[in-house]
Amino acid sequence: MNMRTIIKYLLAVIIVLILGSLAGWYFFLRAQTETITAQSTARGFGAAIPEGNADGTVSSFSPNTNTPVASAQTPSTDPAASKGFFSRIWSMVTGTGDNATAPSGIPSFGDRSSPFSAIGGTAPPSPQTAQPIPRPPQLWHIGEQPVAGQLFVGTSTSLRLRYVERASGHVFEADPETGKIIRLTNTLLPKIYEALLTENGHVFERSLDAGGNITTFAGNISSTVGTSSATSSAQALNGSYLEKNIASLSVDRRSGALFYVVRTPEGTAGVTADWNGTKQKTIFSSVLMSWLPSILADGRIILVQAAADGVPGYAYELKRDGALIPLLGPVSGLTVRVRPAGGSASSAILWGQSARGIMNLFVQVGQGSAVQLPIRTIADKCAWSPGKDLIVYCGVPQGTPGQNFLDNWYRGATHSSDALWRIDASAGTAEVAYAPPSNVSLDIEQIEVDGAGNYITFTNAADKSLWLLRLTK
Amino acid sequence: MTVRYQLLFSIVALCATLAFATAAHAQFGLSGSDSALSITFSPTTPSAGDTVRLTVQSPLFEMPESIIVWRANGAVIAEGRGVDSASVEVGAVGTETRISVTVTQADGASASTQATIIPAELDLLVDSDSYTPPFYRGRPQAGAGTNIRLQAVPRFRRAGTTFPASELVYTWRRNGEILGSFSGRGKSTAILPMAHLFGTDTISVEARSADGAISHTTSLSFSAAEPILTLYEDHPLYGILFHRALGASTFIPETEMTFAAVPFFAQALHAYDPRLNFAWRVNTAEIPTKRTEPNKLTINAENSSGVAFIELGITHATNYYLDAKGAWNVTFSSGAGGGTDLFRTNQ
Repeated sequence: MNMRTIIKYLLAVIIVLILGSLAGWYFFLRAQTETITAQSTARGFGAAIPEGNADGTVSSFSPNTNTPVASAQTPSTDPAASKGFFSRIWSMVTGTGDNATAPSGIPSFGDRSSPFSAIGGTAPPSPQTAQPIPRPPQLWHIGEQPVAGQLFVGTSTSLRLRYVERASGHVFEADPETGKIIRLTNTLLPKIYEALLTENGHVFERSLDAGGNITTFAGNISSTVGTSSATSSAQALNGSYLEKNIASLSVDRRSGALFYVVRTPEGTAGVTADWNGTKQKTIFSSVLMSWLPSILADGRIILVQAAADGVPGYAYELKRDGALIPLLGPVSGLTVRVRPAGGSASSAILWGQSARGIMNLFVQVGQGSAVQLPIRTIADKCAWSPGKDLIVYCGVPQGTPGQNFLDNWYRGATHSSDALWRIDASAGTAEVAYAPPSNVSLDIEQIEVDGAGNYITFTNAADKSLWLLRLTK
Repeated sequence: MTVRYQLLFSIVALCATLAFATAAHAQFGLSGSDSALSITFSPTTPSAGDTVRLTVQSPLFEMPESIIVWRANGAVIAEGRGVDSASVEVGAVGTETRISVTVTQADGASASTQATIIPAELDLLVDSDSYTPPFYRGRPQAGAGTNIRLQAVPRFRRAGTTFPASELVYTWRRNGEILGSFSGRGKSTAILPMAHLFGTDTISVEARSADGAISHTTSLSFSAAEPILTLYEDHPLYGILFHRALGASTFIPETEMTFAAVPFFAQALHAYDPRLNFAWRVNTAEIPTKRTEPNKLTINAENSSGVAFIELGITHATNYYLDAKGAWNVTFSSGAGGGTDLFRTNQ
């Protein structure tokens, strides 16, 4: 056997080895891609958006095609499947071509904005934009994944819904007009149970550590993260942790100033602080364990006892010198939503009473007398509209919620199917604003109204998914 | 005749002195010790804006036959023969309402007395240090063995001056019995053990200004809450799904799941308080608990029928009243199938 023959054999062996390696690499990548696609599909990527109409009909809305589709769950077809074998291998190896593109919403390999990237990564961010959509349906199911908190930012012409994903702590922004969703941050903060946001970019993400302590991360979204640019990029969420075991937290949405209730050996203490935890000042202390604070737009701090069915509760305004100014109480199963005073609008208060399986809702404007409203719900399902008119929107259970609804609802042991009602507090009247289709069950909570009164967002307490309702068709 | 009037005057003066000494309430101040009249009012400790019903009594005067005139801050609010009661709406906290009543008999004998009503308010707030999970928005309720935590929030004011809570004297009572160790000046809070499993407790607190001029009493009744054992999914991505408690029968579209038990209102600092004893059973088989997280159970239903009957009992090392039980029928989406129930539990 001469040298030429040996070289031929060697080349053949090498070619076979290369082809074999490429084939193995292809099958490995395919398996990984399928796994990721399956997991992403299960998590809701590419899922169609159910569209509800007031007439009770429902259709779905594909974010990729902007056309109604028949199925609510439509797994996306892998575009690579229609390509040739070697073309696909080449594309996968080089990372070029259409078939190297990850499914919508899935970070690509090596992307530092991946859910598995390091905290505070500094690698150049990659675009995180989805396909633009002309206009979402009136009732838009923004995502099926659980959300920890949300807030409207911007004005009516540049309105965005900013929200925090529960699984990753990533901050997203949805455009109510186009349906475009962008990711603003890429810092992984897993298992966020509760999130608060401010209009000036502060984010507070609350979770549990291994010891079961409540942690609160106070971060700031970089001002360079555009909310209107189509090429906006996800960036790190820089910040620091506040003290542990903050039982309940409230934030001034404009300034980011905090008021929180923290456990102490004696009971609880109420602390004011800047957004990053500096300038702490304890202005309140109590032996009670369950205070729920809120900071209103007019700067007032409202303290309400956590509610329980049939147990009297109180609500106060907490002055900066620690004085408690009574607002309500004793009221059984008291839940409260206070409207801030501002401009020509007077302050108003909405509260719910729950005892022995009966819920009542009341409203009082200024120093006027209280009016019982003709709906049965709890104030936790309500939100004041920020406009000049005294308007409240409430989720109202359809049907009979049952005994001890409030306690069971707080424990997640029961869920209601709500319609959205509009309440005119000045007139003391209520009317249905939106009734979801019969095949859509919404247990409304964390409800917010945008500044212009055009949109309402809420989460469904049954699965913590995020919804947006346009009040005008 | 003169002697007779002197005797009557003496009796009137004596009664007035006794009435002053035994005045029913500090908000009711008799202006003259020469009065034979006493005024009672309901409610005895009015709050701001209350309508108070006033009643005049006398051991000497024949009320049905007498002309009675009621005045509030100088204005007549009621008058007539035998009108021994009247109503008045009091003002805001700290606003004085001066009540005077004049009784004149047919024979011309007359007496009058005065009282001052100063509305005060006293909130009595209650919750408990019983266990509730993090981020729970409801009120912790006192289970047997836990503590009731009480806080009195007074609003006492007079002549534009507010009485600080720390300057008032508090008297706490439980079922009518004074709790001496919790009572005293500035003691506006109380932490009481919830010892009973059954029955109802009534707690009251009276706050009184140091000079006794203003006081108010508030009370509330409650029973021990039963611990509620609730089971949640502990999701690998989302954490414990506190918003979705598992029902008695649940289908789970997975083959493996970790469950987290939450003993609402139990005597515990956290869900895996070492004083709590978790006894898990799956399809009647006892499952050893994990030392660090005894409140959690992981079930893998591969190669099984996929049906798990989960039972959990929780007891407490020192609180024998705590004995919570729960049972859940869970059906997994078992891919492999099979007739056995060989669940793989990973404690």
